[in-house]
Amino acid sequence: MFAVLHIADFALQALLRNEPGSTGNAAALFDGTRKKSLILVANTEARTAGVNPGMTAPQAVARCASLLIRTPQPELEVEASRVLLAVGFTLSPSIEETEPGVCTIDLRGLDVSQHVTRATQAVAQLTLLGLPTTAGIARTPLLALYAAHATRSVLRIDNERNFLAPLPLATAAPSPTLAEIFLNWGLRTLGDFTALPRDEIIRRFGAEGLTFWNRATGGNDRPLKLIRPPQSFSAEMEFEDPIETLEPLLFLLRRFLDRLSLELSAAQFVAVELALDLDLENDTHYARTFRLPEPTGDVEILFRTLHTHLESLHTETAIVGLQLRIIPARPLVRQQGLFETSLRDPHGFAETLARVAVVVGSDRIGTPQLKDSHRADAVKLIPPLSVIPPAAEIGVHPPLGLPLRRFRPPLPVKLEFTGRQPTYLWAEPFHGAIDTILGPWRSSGEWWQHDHTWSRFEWDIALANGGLYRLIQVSEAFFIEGEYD
Amino acid sequence: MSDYVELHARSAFSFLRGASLPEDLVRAGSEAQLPAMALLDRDGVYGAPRLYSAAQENDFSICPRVGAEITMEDGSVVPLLAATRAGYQNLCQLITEAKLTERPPNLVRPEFSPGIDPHERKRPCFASWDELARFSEGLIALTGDEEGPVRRAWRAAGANAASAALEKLSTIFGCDNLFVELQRHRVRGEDREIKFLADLAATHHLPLLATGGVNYAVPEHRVVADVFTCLRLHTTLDAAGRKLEINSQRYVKTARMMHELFHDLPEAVENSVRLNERLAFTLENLGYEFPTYTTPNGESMDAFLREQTFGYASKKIGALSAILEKQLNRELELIARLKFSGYFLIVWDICRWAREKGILVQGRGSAANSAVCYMLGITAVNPVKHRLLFDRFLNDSRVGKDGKPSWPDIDLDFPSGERRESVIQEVYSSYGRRGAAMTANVITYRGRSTIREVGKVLGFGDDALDRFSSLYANGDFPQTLDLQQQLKMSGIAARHPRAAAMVQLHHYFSRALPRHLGQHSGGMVICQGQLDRVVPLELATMPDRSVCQWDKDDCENLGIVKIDFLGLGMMAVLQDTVELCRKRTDGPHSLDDIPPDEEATYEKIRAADTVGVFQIESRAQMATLPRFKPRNLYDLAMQVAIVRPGPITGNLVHPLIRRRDGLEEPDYIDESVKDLLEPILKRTMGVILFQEQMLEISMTLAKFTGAEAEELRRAMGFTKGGDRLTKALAKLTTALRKQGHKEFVIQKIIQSATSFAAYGFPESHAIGFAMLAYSSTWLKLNRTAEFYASLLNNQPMGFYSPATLLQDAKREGRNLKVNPVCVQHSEWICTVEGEKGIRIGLRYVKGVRESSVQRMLATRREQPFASMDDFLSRTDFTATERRALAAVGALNILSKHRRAALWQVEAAWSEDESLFRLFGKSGDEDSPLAPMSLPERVGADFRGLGLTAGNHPMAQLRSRLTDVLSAAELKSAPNGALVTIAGSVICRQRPGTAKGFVFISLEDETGIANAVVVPSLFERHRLVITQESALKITGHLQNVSGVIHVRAERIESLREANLPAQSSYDFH
Repeated sequence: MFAVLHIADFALQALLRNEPGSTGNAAALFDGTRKKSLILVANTEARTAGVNPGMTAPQAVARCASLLIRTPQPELEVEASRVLLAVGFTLSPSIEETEPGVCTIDLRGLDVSQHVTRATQAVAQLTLLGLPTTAGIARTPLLALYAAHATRSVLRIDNERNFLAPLPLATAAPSPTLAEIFLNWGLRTLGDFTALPRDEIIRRFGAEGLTFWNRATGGNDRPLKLIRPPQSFSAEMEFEDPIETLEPLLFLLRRFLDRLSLELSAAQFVAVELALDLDLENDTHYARTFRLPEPTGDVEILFRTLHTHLESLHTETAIVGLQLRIIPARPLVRQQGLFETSLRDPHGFAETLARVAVVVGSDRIGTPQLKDSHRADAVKLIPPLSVIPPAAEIGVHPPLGLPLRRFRPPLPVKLEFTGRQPTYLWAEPFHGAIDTILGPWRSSGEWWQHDHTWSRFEWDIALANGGLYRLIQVSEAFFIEGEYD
Repeated sequence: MSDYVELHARSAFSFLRGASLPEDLVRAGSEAQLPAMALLDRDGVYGAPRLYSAAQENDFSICPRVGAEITMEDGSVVPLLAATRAGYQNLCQLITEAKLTERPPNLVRPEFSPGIDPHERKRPCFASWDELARFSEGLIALTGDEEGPVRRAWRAAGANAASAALEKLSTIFGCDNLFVELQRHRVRGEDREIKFLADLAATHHLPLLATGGVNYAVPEHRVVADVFTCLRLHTTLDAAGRKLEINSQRYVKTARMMHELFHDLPEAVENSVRLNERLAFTLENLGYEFPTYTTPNGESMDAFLREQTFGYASKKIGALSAILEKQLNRELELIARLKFSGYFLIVWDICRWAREKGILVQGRGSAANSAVCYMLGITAVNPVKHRLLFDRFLNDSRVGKDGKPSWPDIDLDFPSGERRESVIQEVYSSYGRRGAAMTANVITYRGRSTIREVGKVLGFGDDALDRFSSLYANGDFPQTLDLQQQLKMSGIAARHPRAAAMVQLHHYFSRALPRHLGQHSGGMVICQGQLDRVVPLELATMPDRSVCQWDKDDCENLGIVKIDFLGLGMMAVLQDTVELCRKRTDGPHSLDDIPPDEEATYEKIRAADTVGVFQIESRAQMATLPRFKPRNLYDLAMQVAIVRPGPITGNLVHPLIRRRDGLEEPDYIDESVKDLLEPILKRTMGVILFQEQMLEISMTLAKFTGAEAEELRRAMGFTKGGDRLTKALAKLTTALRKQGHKEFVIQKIIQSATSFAAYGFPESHAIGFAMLAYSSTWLKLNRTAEFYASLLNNQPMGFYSPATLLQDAKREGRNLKVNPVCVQHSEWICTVEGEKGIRIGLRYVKGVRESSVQRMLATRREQPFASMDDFLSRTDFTATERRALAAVGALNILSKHRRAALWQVEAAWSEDESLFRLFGKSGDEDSPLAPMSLPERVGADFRGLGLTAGNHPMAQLRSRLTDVLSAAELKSAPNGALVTIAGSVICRQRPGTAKGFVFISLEDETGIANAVVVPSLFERHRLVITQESALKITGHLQNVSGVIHVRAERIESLREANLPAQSSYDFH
């Protein structure tokens, strides 16, 4: 026998479980990757209001003005999948991730009398974790899936024929071509279909027809593509809207810990240490590890540990990201890869980098690279390279100018003008009459976003008492950007 | 006088390169007091006429020089200036040669010309160096900017390569006609390159030339240039990086600025003045000549035209009346004096050719005022009978800007589709591929396209842009909401960091910036010599078509004669109907056989039973017909003219209706001008309705000369910008004041003229259209089957979908039998069966190819199909096609019902199994599938055909809609009653002149019901109204003078009815 745990409208539920206020609201998930944004999934409330997959946003909002419009968030789907699988492992070690939101479980070894009870517990647990789930138990994985689709709680199939007959034809997922043909034939249910002569179906649709016939009659027993319990235990999330209060943060941490503790249990581990990392809105991080006095898998203890600490925590700005990692009791066994990198100890390097990142912030670590921009001195950080690339070839016209030593930040200066010409310059470390001036050169950009717009004038100046400098004007202020060697 | 001339400027007609309109460049040049400016658009002279016109109209005299940047085969760009007319002709030929000659696909490496796809049919210009040499006479070359051959070579490979590139140019142009171009844009490092170029010029004894390398008129337009760069390179502003400009310096500069920039090389600036003195060419001396007509016996064109006119006249009318003969003589004498005989003969020849090929043709526009045109068969209206004045078409004083007599305007209507195409191809074949071309149509950035394209560049998500497109349909009409509110409703809040940029860019783009060059719907220009010496030609997207680089207004301004070969769907319908009627003994065998002024026809017109007929079928026309009550052809002409944005803006509809109803006396503005205006406006009871009346008023009251009136006409018909009209109206106002007219009179006349701009109908044009409207109505009533079959065969056209037309065809009184599509009886097109029947053609079955059907028809002609197996074995439809045919009932004749057919066709063996095919049978007659129910059949019809031969789907719902009145029942409901209507939405309109009111037409099984929605209600239910395909509307009924509509108060979706979605004519 097989059981299937099924989360309807999975991609949408994966998202809504993290929005405590969304329960009972009509919501739909839109495909943001295509030219035209269409509904992929609509929840029951939305479908009741007439919102169906395939509609455009304006069509949907025309029917349901309060519709919550969301786009897929793959990382949340991954998190929800891990929750589903973690609960699946509580039923049996032989489970399969059949498709997103569907976990098939081989119940062999579990007492038959326990099937419904254990499945009901799993459903309750998943619902508690924010993922309304149904379960089906049947002779084949496919039939169990149909059962999970057909019920609002748990359904065990004993009389297959009676169960299958009234199911909509779409349950057996015909190809679009077959679906259209059957629609024109007026077939609505699997019973309508299987009432037709099997040989005539095979004659008309060949192998495809036979495959669909099998699906329509509940499919065959098949070996599952088993998955292993996870070996590392972490969770992370970036927030679209920064979190400013403790409540939503604890809500999420509790969600994470529920899942992680299930995974720990399935893998027969316990936690010895918790590592919490918070990304803050001002581009800084807050990181903290918690060594547990005694290794444990108890979710309440783990949650309390975090809760106690966070209650007294005040960050400068709101939180925009969260990572939680559990260090299990047994050491991680790592198999060496076939291909070594050029680093002698990449693991050590990564660890060192991670430590440095904790100190300076992860966005302030990396290899600087000039940005593709006219903006002077615009750089971005790319992940540290393990291999230093060879130097680029010198171009047809190598740079000829003198090297510029930049002042970081640029030195504010005051200028004295004669007419429109600057003639004297004061800066903190030096001052003097301007002997020669070249320029101005002008540059500006990023006009399309008001808080990024920039514009500047540049001159090269020589002071009478010696020294060559680059003078810049940004807005109304003047600066010395650097000194030429 | 300034001592600098800008000789290298690009406008937005460089398509995604320059950012300003030519008019902006002229204004900026004028403000900078530059004596001249050369427009060098990329690979064309697209913007030259606009620069020329703007320069002429500008207060500060700026001489518009002509040139172009030419993309070479290696991807470099050579700027060329036309020094002489020969030079200009060479430039046009060079561009034409480069654009029409197919190049090897690997010619251009993408790194040289990003954004250019040499595989496109409208391929870009890649001139070869040989071609440049061949067409170099009279041209002066510059070495160009960073895309020029010299600087490109220097940057890519150094000094020697640059020197070699310069020598290549020098070999072609010599030392006298080649300038080393210098540009300074205040970019660090540019002096190194300038120093090299100055040294290189000295070494080769070549003069230097400073230019601005202008990309836009003013620094503010740099943002547009950046967006264009992104659009050209298919990237976004965030990702474009250094591909964008570094600053905003490529604007039009004054002489002082240029001297300051080139203080170290003053001769480079001074040379611009010297070079300008050598440029002797402007578009004023274009050298265009219309072709002459070769007479058969060598007689003069004047004599031949006279001979033909009188010859046709005696055939058409018999003995000529003295008035008609006098009129013909007068016209022929004037035509000869103005040397237009050749033009008339050529147009006549085209019409004659069309008739010989059985193609219906009818002249429209002011040509209908000419008795000569009528006799030659160019037009269908007898101007003497309708008292149309020839002077409005042609007179001595019609003089163009160039001082030459301005060409008469003859537009020809042909049946749209292949028949019109064959006429166009005949013109190509008569005058040569380089002697004739379509005029261009400059497609500009407008509304939704601007938001979509600019939005993408700004990095907005597709969802917001989709929402904007769904919410705000196309149209010139003003929205109730401003752009910021529209953006907000689409999900882009005002505080969005890029919303301000979007609004700013929308403002710039909505100034009709050109997006790409299309072709005019039917305007052709032909030339005596070679047209490619007058204007460059390029390939159009349509096969076998070429297009010139100027649009119809530019051509007209430059005195180039355009003949419009317009395609009218209704002409095709009329021709097809008459051809079908030829099989009948009672005809008609031609349009001339249709009895004129038949009362029954006007009765139907007055009752607005006009769905499917020409011009008077729209919702607005149908709402006016019962009030206007046309009784004859001239009434119908007024009716056609009355429902136009112009007259409505001028509040002219109601006075005319009231006056016709005797509720108001005719009013000639004021007693002081009554004597002058009455003769002009008597037929329209004092209302200024036609363009001709406006012109006559200008000549009578303002004492305009013919030339001034002609200029006013052109200004009113000019589609680009309002400057020209403003100036023309100012002139009219001054002239009226000078004549001492009261200010009230002047304002009234100016208001009328303003409302006519772009929309005013010429009287003769309206009469021509009225004839088509009358003929189509007569055929609809008297040859119903033939008319509807033809109408269905020429879709899409008009206001209504085939489904609506078919429902209309079956309405009471017509007794038309619509037979469903059938493989045994249907042809590809819809056909007539018996007296009162039409058979739907197989062309309506979606997913079925014409080639398969034609093979099936050939097989069927040999022997009808005996059974389903016979059909399947003798045809080669694909599985999808077989299913499509079965689903819509086309195979019912070979099977018990649609589902039985669907069951059977699936059993047919495929081509891959041809051996089995010999033995296989489609299956038994005993299909296990149940027949389709009625709603299922209707649904399958709409899915598979887009229409149904059966009842309207609303009929099935009627019993469930107890509180809803049908469209037919509305007629008997009292005025003011609270009613509910429901049906499929077939039209949503929001005319700009209706102050935000929206008109919705709902179709049910009894007809069409109309609702009016006030702006506030529309904004509340915008999504429901624009997105739902079926609606239920409640409101108070207005039933006045036979015009019925519901003033909507509640609007709901009718989605529970699950009606099949029908196509709707939307404008909101």
